[in-house]
Amino acid sequence: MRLQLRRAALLRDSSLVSMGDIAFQLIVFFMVTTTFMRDSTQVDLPRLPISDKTESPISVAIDAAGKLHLDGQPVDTSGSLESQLRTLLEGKTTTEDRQVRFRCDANLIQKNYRSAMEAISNAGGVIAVMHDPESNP
Amino acid sequence: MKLPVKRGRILADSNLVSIGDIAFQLIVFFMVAATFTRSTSMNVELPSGDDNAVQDDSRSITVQAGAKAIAVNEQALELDQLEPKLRELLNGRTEGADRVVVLVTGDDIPFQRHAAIMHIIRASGGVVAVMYEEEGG
Repeated sequence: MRLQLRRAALLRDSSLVSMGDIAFQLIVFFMVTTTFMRDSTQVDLPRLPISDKTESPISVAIDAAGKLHLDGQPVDTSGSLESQLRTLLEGKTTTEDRQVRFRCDANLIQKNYRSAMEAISNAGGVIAVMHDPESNP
Repeated sequence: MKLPVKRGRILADSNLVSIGDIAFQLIVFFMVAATFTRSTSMNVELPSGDDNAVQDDSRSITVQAGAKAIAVNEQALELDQLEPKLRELLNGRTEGADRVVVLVTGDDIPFQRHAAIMHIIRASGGVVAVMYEEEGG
């Protein structure tokens, strides 16, 4: 009987340790997936040699159908995009802070993305054109 | 003799649990690594409507681009000739304002080509200022 009691205590200890482990894993998992949700719009980005990097949390995307998205949420017009961006960029003064990730489908023609670029610029944002790195031949 | 056999079984169970843990860690690691490789960008400034300084400067460099044609200061050339031509024109110019290259694009230009031209201007040492061709003008 004494031996069985010891084993039970041992098992209880293991559960407590792994609970903390699981909690930490879940925190990391949700942090990562939240980051992905921001750029969830599927866009075929242009391919260019690597230039800069941006850590901006604000993302404007235009999908292959020409639909506008701000931080993963659909936006009806470029006017609405501009006003929402003005609110998000309020009080930000440095170039880094004013960067807006611009994710536009590579096959769209300017007629479809021009108003979005102008909206970002009019709202005081710096356009950070997102692209995929070009694979070397 | 009976007890050591049972304790061995407990250890074997723990290894199975950690395999799932390691697999999860690897999934999260590759998700994060994939995000970092895709976060490449290129910053672009759009001149404001009342900023005529760039247009009035006789030394300014203008690149006009459409879906197929491209010209530097109204001289037609091919896309692969653009970078050497810009390097030649920008040679000796050290001040930021002197290095501005105005990129005027037509509404039919695809975003891939637009972004590639902006990248070439930056690679040749120029500062990109994006403008648009007015319809019917």
